[in-house]
Amino acid sequence: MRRRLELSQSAADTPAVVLVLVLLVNDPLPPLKDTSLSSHLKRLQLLVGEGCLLVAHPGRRISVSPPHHTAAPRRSELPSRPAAAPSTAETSRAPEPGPVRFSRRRRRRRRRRMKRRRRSRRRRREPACCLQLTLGGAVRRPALSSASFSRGMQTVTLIPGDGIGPEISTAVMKIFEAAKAPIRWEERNVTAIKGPGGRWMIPPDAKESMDRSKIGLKGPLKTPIAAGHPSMNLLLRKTFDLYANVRPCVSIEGYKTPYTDVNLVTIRENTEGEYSGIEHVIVDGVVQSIKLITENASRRIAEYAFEYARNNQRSSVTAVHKANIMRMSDGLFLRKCREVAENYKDVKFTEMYLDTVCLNMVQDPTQFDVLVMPNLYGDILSDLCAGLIGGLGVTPSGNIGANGVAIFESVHGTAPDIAGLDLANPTALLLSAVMMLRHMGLHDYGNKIQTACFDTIRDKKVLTKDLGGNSKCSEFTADICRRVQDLD
Amino acid sequence: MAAHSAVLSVSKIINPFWGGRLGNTVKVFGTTLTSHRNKTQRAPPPAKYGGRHTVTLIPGDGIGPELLNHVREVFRFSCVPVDFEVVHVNSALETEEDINNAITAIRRNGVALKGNIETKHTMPPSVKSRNNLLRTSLDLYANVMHCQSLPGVQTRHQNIDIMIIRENTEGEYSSLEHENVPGVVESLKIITRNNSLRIAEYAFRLAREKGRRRVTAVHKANIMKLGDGLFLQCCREVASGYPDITFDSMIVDNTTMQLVSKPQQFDVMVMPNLYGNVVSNVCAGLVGGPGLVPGANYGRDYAVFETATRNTGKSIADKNIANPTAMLLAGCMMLDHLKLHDHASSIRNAIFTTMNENRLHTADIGGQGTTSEVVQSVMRIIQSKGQLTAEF
Repeated sequence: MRRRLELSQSAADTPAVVLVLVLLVNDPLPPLKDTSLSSHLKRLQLLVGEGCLLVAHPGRRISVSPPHHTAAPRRSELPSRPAAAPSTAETSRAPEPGPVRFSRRRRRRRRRRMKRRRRSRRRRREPACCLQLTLGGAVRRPALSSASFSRGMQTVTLIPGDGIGPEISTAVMKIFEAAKAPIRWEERNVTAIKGPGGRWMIPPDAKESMDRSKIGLKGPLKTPIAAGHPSMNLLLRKTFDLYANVRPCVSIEGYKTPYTDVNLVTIRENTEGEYSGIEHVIVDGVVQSIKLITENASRRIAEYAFEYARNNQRSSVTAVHKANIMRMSDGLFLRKCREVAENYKDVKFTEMYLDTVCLNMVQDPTQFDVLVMPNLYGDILSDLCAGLIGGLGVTPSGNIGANGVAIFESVHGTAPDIAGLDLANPTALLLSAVMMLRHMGLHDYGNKIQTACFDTIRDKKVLTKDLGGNSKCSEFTADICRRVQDLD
Repeated sequence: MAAHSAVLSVSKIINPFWGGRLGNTVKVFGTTLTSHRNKTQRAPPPAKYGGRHTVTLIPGDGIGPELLNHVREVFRFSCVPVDFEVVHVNSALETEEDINNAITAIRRNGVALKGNIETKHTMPPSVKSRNNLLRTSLDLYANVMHCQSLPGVQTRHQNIDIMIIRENTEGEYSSLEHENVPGVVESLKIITRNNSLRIAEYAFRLAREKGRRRVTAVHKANIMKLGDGLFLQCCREVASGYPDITFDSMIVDNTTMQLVSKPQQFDVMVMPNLYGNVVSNVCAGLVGGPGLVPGANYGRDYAVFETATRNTGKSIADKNIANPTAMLLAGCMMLDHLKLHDHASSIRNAIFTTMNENRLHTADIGGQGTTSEVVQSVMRIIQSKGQLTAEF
């Protein structure tokens, strides 16, 4: 019996796109000596050919279902297993179908053999390379638990936040309901608590929920000034190793700014750089702040940037640096970017000084595509780009972490002065949620909601105060819900 | 603070009477009693050689040599009493002999006009940026840039008038880097109390002199609490001595966001080195590009003038399409510094007439003119004003 993934339905809507979801959780072929990524790929190519849909179940075999009328490759057509592998001994001695009654001894032996085979198959489960290919969104998460596939609903941890956070979260949930998106929200609160050992950490139920669902949507969190604990954003970043901050900046049609046709993405290294937090007072009146650049982090962010560019049909990646002054640190970052660029020949790679980027960005932002940079430059440039399209109130943002965790957030503040007054603008959180849908592969829902949101803004009839209108948040939300339902 | 200002007034009284003759005594007297070098207008080096000033000229790379040639041409044409001592710096060499020669020349003459010296970052890290070396050796602690919207140039924002004062010697540009563990590089950012106080004093004095009402400090003290926190604290201390000027602070990412949406709200901005780089380039882009804005580096004893955004412009070198405005205006700033105000204003007026009335623009601001056409136009306008000029 075959169970199809929910994703295959969206694949049917987009026939032009080849959907290949590969999870090498339980490779049916025996392991070869060479377990590199490319060898796994080659073996899979032999198995399926192009254009076929792979359906994988954790713990079971990979089954192949062709999208159109091409027949699935028969078992006999597959390449024969190499003789050296240990399990061929078992299969070659598999009993042929013969007379139904066997002797008791033979039956016992058969039972023992099947038990052994089952045991060895369980042991052979190798999550060796989880190849994640993406589809019009960010990186797809690996092996999804069967729980999240019940009724096709996917669980997302929702962190409403403080100030206007709860209102805009409610607005987003309403819009998702109207769009009938298959998302089940798990609301959690994050406040810093002191864990064992005196270290500050996020509440364990929030961590457990995130670890389970892997996707999070976060509203604005306030950073109390003299609370004694680091900012919540920093805690989240450290807990889930959120190493990449992705901010796509696209001009919103209805919201006029001096800059039109902005369409770029800033990818910022989120863990080290100037924000390492290592500062010392050397002597009274002399402070030293350390900027840390490591090979691993630079390579990781460069790989993510190129992967993102490739999977989102972006033509070029620009590394932003100041290697003329910070020769060793930015030089290392640049070297890693160049090395990674060698493996992505289809994406154009350029390097540009930070000041040149700033200069050209305010004169002609259309010349930039994907920008990758260390922490501080990323902070400044991503906010600069947000300013080009209209500010933090309309800018989405996503944080990608190790182990497939992704937290999407709105980057504006908590706005305590308008909290609870139904005046907030949910656009930023909504666009981040759309980014999240694309990340999960639910592109049609994402496009629907985004179109409805942009249409509402373009119409200019019900706009919140910061967008230049007079309406309330609930009216804005209701208008988007109505448009989403009309689009159905 | 009162004794401070009393001493300053004493040294101001002494200076006009004795001019440069009591030079050393006044300097010594001043040094022992004032703790910070905080005069914005340095006494210019005296014009010792037949009433003519000698200024060091460093052509640099890229468009530097051709633009500085044009500056010399315009100066010669307008009979400006300035002689240039040209010192070449070869950026391809790894030794520091060239740049040391240049530094000695600037120490000798007191004033310099330079193009940008290219820093190839393929060289080993021991080869430091030549421009940075120049700035730190001469202790040119303040980089001043004045961004003004020009009526003749089409930009997205209008009515911009921002003065940017940037700390020029420390901060992220300290060039102190090391690799303790392979694959992990540490770069040090140094912020000192003395330098922060110095630059804040400079900023407030300049604001007062120019009649500015507001000074904004740009920082990132929410993340770099000790470093930028110290800078902010020093700015606040200095601000308390200038009650007529409003002081506020803004985080650098918010600043860049505000600059691209509402740049008219800013007046004078003071900041450490790296943020200064970013903000000055953003502002230069807002008013029309790197070809329009001049910059000046002031130290206690020396002053070096160049374009504000310090671009080498390798891609447009020797093609006669570079915009000479920035370098010419930098030359005018230098003339102002040498107290040759008449020449400075005549050249400046000629430049603005060319830009705003004749609308002769180069390619970077959307026109079709060449560099030489612009320069010829400037010289023609100077001649038409009836001043003494050399042969065309």
